[in-house]
Amino acid sequence: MDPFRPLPTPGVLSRRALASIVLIEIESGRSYALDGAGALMWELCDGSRTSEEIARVVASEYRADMRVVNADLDELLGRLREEGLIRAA
Amino acid sequence: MSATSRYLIDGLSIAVAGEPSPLRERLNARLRSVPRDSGRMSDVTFDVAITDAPRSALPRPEGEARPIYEHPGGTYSYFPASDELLLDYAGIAVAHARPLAGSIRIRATPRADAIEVASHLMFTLPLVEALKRRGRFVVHAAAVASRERCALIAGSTGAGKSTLALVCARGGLDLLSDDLVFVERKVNGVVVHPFRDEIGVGRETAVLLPELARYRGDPPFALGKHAIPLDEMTTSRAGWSPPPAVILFPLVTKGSISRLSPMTAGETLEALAGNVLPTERAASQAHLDALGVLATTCPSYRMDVGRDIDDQPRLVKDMLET
Repeated sequence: MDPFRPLPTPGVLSRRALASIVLIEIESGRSYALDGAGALMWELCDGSRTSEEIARVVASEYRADMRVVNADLDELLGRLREEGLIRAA
Repeated sequence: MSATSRYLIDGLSIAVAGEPSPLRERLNARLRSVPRDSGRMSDVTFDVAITDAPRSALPRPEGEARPIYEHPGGTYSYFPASDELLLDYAGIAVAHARPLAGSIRIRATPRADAIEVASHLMFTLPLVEALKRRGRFVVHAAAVASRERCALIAGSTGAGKSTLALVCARGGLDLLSDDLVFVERKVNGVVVHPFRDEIGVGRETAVLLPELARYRGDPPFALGKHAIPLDEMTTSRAGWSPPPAVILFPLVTKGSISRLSPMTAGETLEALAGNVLPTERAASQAHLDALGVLATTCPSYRMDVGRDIDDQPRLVKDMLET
């Protein structure tokens, strides 16, 4: 089975404002904000990377423990999926 | 006989056409401080009329619809397949809009409340979408100025932006607009086009400011505010589009002194995101992008607004003049 490569769903608008990214889901009109590592994780969800690869980039950028980053990323991806903001490539 | 009035809004020609009627009159009154356009061609045309059956007069677009705005008593829908809007207030005021084509039709019954809704919500939402397709993006904000620099006072209805703007005008700043501005991206950032709409004065504001004492009675309609022409409250010149120097997000408090807290660009963009109506994808992304430029190029502050109305204009002026 191909590993999950997350990608924004077509109805998501996004814009970076320095350290943050704001998302708007166009079907519902709901908006969301991601900061710091969360914003980087979102930007790396472009359909070309597995979650493992995303975690590696974030851990390197923030010099953080991979286990912590993996846990944070799993939680974020779970929430983004629940909100309909990402899908599999 | 049908007649057309043309207005210049953000460099675009906006026409209001139709037979003379109480709806035409109310719209003309609302727009009396907006500069007139003497040209013959329009970018956007509003065709407005009174009818006994507004819903029958405007057919429903085909395809699926999704709600884009919440307001008591009405349904406000967007049709993605055809990029059309259908706005319906209890069947007594209805608007159909094709924003990209610049074609909007408004129909209302002769009832006073229908005319008020038709000349306000039914005009404003389609105008916002038509201007969005043309690179002018709405921000729910009042605008005041001092020494050629402009402050935006942003927030949704009830945040206290109109009151703060009027307090600033009373304290010597120029009042550019009361409720809406449109931002346009330029090479080096954004500029602000104030929308010279009439000013809405609620009872609380009228009680606070002695010069507005005559507006302390009940407003005529359920929309809750008295309407004052902008020209009665300011000598600011039409057609001026300054770059914004600061954004304030007021919050009325019971404190005696007003306080400012700086906001990050991310917090600012998150606070502004609600200005993007979730309609056509590319135009909505462009709107969000313009707000992103505004948030990253303009310092922003939360303003806890206290009871010190005599000091608030100085606070705002100091930010504009440093």
